[in-house]
Amino acid sequence: MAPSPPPRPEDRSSEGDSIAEIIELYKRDVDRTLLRDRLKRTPEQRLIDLMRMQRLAEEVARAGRRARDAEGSPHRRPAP
Amino acid sequence: MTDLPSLIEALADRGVRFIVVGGVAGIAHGAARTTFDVDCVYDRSPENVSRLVEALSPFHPCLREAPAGLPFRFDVATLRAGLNFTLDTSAGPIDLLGEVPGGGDHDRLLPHTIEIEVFGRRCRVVSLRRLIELKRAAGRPKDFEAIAELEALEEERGAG
Repeated sequence: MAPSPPPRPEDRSSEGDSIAEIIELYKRDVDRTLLRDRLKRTPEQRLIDLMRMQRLAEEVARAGRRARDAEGSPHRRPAP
Repeated sequence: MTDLPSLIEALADRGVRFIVVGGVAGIAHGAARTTFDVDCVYDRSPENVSRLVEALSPFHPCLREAPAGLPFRFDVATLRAGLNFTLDTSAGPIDLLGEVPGGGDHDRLLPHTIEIEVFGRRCRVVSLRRLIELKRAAGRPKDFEAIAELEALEEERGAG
C-alpha cells in the first residue's frame, strides 16, 4: 500500500476547526453551577476535595472487586 | 489516593524547581474533575535533578506498569539519561516530565505559571490559559471534554 501523503496546511486548519467545534459542543454540557461552587473554594480546599474523591473511587473499586470475587466463588450459595 | 501534602512538602522543602501541570493543575484552578496522578514539569539542571531524587526517594519510586523484573534505579543518572518518567510511589502516582508538547521545558513554562500556597508550602502551577493551550497542543481526544470545562472555567472566572 502506498504511504499516505503528508497533511496539507488547509487540512490541518480544517482539523483544528473541527476540534474547536467538538470542544464547543462539549462546553454546552459543562455544569457551570459546579464550577462556580469550586471557584468559591481555595486551591488547597480543591486539592483536599480531590483526595476525598480519589479515596471514594478506590473504595468503590474495592467493593466492586469483592462483589466480583464473591460471584465467582465456589462457595457462593446458589440462587433460589 | 495521592498524598498531595506529603509530595508537595517533600519537593518544596528540598527546594525542587517544579511546575504542576495536567489534571491537578486544572483542579487547583477550579475544575470539577478527578485525576489519579500528579504531573510535574521539572527543571533538568543537575542540581535540581539531585534535589528531586533526594525529595522523592523516601517514597520508593518505581516505573508504573513496567514489566516485572525490569531493573529501575531512581537516581540522578537515570533521570539525567531519560526525560519523562511515569512513576508509582508510596504517596501515589507521579509523572515527572522534562518537557511538555506545546510548552517546552521548565524554564520556558515558568513565565506562564502562578504561585499558590497549599498545605503550608508554596508551589508553582501552570496558568489556566497555558494549561488550556497545552491540552490543545497535545491534541488528544480524551482531553476535549477537559478543555471544554477549562474554557468554561476561564469564562466563569472572567465573569466573576
